[in-house]
Amino acid sequence: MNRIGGRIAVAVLAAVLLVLIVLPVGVLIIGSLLSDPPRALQFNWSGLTFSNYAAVLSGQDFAALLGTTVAAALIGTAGALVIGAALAWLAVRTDVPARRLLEAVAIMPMFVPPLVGAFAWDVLASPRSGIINIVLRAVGVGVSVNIYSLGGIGFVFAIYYCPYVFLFMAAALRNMDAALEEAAAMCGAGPLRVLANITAPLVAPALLSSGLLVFVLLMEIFAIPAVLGEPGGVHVMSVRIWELIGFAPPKVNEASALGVLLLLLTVTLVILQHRFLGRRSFVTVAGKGLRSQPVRLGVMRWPLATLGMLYLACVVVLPFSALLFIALRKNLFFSSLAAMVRTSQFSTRQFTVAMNDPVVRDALSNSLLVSLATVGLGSILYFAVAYIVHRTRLPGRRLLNMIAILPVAIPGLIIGLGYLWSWISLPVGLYGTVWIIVFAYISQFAPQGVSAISATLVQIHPELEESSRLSGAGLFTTLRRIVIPLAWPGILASMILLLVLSFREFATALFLYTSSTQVFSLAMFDFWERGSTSLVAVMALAQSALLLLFITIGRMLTRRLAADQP
Amino acid sequence: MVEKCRVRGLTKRFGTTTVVDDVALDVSEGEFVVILGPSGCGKTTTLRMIAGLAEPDAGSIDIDGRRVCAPAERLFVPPEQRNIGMVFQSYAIWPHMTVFENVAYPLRVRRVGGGERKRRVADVLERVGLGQESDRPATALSGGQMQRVALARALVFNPAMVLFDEPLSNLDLKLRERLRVELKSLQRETGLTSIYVTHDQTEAVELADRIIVMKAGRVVQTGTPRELYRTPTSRFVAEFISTANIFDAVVEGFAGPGFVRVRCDDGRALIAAHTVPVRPGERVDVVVHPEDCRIEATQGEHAHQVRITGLRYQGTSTRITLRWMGTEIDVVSLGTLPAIEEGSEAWLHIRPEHARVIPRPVP
Ligand SMILES: Nc1ncnc2c1ncn2[C@@H]1O[C@H](COP(=O)(O)OP(=O)(O)OP(=O)(O)O)[C@@H](O)[C@H]1O
Ligand SMILES: [Mg+2]
Repeated sequence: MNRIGGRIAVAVLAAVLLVLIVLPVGVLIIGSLLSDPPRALQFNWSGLTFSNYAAVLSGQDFAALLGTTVAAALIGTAGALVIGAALAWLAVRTDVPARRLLEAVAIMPMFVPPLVGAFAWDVLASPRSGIINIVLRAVGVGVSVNIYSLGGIGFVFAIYYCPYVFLFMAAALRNMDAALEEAAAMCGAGPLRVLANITAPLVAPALLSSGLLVFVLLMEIFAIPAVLGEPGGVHVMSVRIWELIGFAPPKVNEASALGVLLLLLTVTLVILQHRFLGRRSFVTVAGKGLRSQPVRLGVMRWPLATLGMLYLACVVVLPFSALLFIALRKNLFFSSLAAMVRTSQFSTRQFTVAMNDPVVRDALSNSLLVSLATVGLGSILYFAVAYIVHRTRLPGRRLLNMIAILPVAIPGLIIGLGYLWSWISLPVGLYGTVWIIVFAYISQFAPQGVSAISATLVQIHPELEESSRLSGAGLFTTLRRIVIPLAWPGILASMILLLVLSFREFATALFLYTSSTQVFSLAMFDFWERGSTSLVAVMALAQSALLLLFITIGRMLTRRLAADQP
Repeated sequence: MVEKCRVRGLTKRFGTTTVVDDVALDVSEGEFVVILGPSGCGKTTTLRMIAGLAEPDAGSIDIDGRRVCAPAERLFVPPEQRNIGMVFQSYAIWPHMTVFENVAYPLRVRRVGGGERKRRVADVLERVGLGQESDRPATALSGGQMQRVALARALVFNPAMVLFDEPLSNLDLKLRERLRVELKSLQRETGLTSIYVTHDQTEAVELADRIIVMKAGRVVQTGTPRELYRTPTSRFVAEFISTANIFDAVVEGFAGPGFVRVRCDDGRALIAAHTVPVRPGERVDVVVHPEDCRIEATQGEHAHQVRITGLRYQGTSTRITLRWMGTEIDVVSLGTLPAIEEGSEAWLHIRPEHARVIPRPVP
């Protein structure tokens, strides 16, 4: 690429990223300082005011709202850290039976959309009609569980977000030079001592970093508290933002102010997390790939393996059994165990109903369209950004990277709100089409997309590309003939990741859909709010099945490609 | 001599491949034993089994007269109870501790009190030449310093013996030489019992009281560096331990007690010494060390006519390449040389006791 061409490319990409990512957030911030909703990017500057913030902050329950948001996120993070770290240690460092299986189990919830997890746990453990409570009553135990509580929500947070901790910890444990632990054993330290004196301090940065990441995600999350929090009066900030807009009279400016406050919190936390990531130098890579003898658990082998299976039960077996059960029930009114399992009450009628429901069909086709468009357009944008950032010395490339990773700190709901502000009244006619959802998704997933493609690009030795250029091939020929073929398995894996993320996304589209552009998750949430539980169960199962299908196809394709390449 | 370590029948398999195969070795008190062998021959695995970091499939290990490992008896003493020091190839210096904390760790684990602990750490740091660095964070050290910390940590608790796994291989050449000298003198002073693993024969020859040569999981020869040099029992050992000329030859007949006449395929014939019985007609290898040869301008007994093809001066010695019939041969000449130059004819003198016959293994 010649200098001028390169600069033009950077400028174009910067403009695209600015419009996609920075503009909506900027408009949101301005909106939070105005008294009226903006029209066609025409701001009524005379209405400049802090009253929205004053209204939010002086609202009678703001302290409680903030407290609950933080408390739920803290409980969830603590649980995720304990479960994730324990599973990682068991799977990577011990002789626990079925280590491979455990590893697969530990990241399974990544493929279960939080919304689906929330529905399932509602069915399982709502205080009155939850299946677990019915069983407990039938058995005659005097206890019951309440998923609508702060603890209940924290529990669901923890089990669905611990895979992030697991991935960080497993990588840290795996990359750590095993000789560091062995040296302690040679110094006379027993296994527990080695764990306390050596392993734990060495992986502490990874633990802290993943903890912060999970905490941010849990501060932002909408789906789980929207489903499980409202019935029991557990209110969090994200849900409140939605209520401020959704309930009449809509208080859009106030919602924006609350959104900006939430954004401030998450941005601060993400900056903190990057600090810790930057200082992760403790994790040293071994000189030789000698794997150490796993820690012998002795008599604890099977009990600890059972804990792993208990986790599998909580995140996969129980939730999906419950959803399947509900999907197959003709009616949902049962209060005893006997009534619950009466076989005459089961049929597959719900599946047929769902499949023929025009709303469900539309939502499915919208979702597929939105997801494929996001993957298609997003991949091109992310590849261009990643390539310029990692493969050129063009001025401005760092700025591109910075804008692209910004959405890590922006809750999907807030991106959606920013898009709503920016486009609702512009005459370009974007609002009301599926494309506004596509663009919002492309902004929301830029960090994941760019970093996944970057990871692939940096593995291709620059000399492979340089020798192509020296052979006389231009930039685009080199990209087409050398870079893309070499990076293809990684790009394909990134595309699958994007497909999964966009197909399950929910909060980002919350403010952007109309009745004709409803996506699948939104339709599910709508039905749930209207009490069509059976339909929701069928849809949740269908969504999970589709995600599993995407992942399986992706795995097969990437594996085939990897096998083809020398 | 007190026996410190005794290994018998040690065997380790990974899947279906036997990586260490029926290895036996003994180490006496104060002895420095080097395990030498090419990459992948099972040295590290052997060392790790002695340390207790890997479990053998068969065999036994005794340390200080105590049996620490015997799979047949389901006996396995974990590494922390074997009282052995170890210096790892990557040094394994804990990055979250200072130099002092690293070295003091074995004493802390053994509940050695504060004052005593300080004194012993200071003492051992002084001995490895790190007296000044005690409070520095371990990550701020150079490679050579880390190596010394690792050594200090392995010595500080007076272990029964110290194991070394290629501890110098990550350092540059100069530093490696210096640390080698230091290590040897430290070992002499303290009478440290050591097992040292390396694939570098110079290192082995310089450090070892005794060398154990391994190949593909088996011990092929054990002996002092001199024994291995003078009387290798296989071509493999001869090639590995030195840069000897090795001739592929056939025994023609006997030439007095202990000597045979051998002839190579290209016609070269010479008298060589043998220590194991050989038969006429048998194919053997003949080892001739470059520094045992002499180049003369004149003919004499056991002299062969050759042509000089290359001369390289290496400080006090000269490395001469010459062509003897169809074969290139290396000769090292110390001190003054007869007036020869490249391309000239000369006489190569090889005394019969300097040419040694190595029998081929029976296939
Ligand atoms: N955990 C393991 N699983 C499978 N094979 C192994 C394992 N550890 C070692 N091996 C194999 O055992 C053989 C011996 O390995 P070892 O590390 O003992 O060799 P080495 O003599 O120390 O070599 P080097 O000089 O390269 O360090 C090698 O072929 C190696 O690939
Ligand atoms: Mg080794």
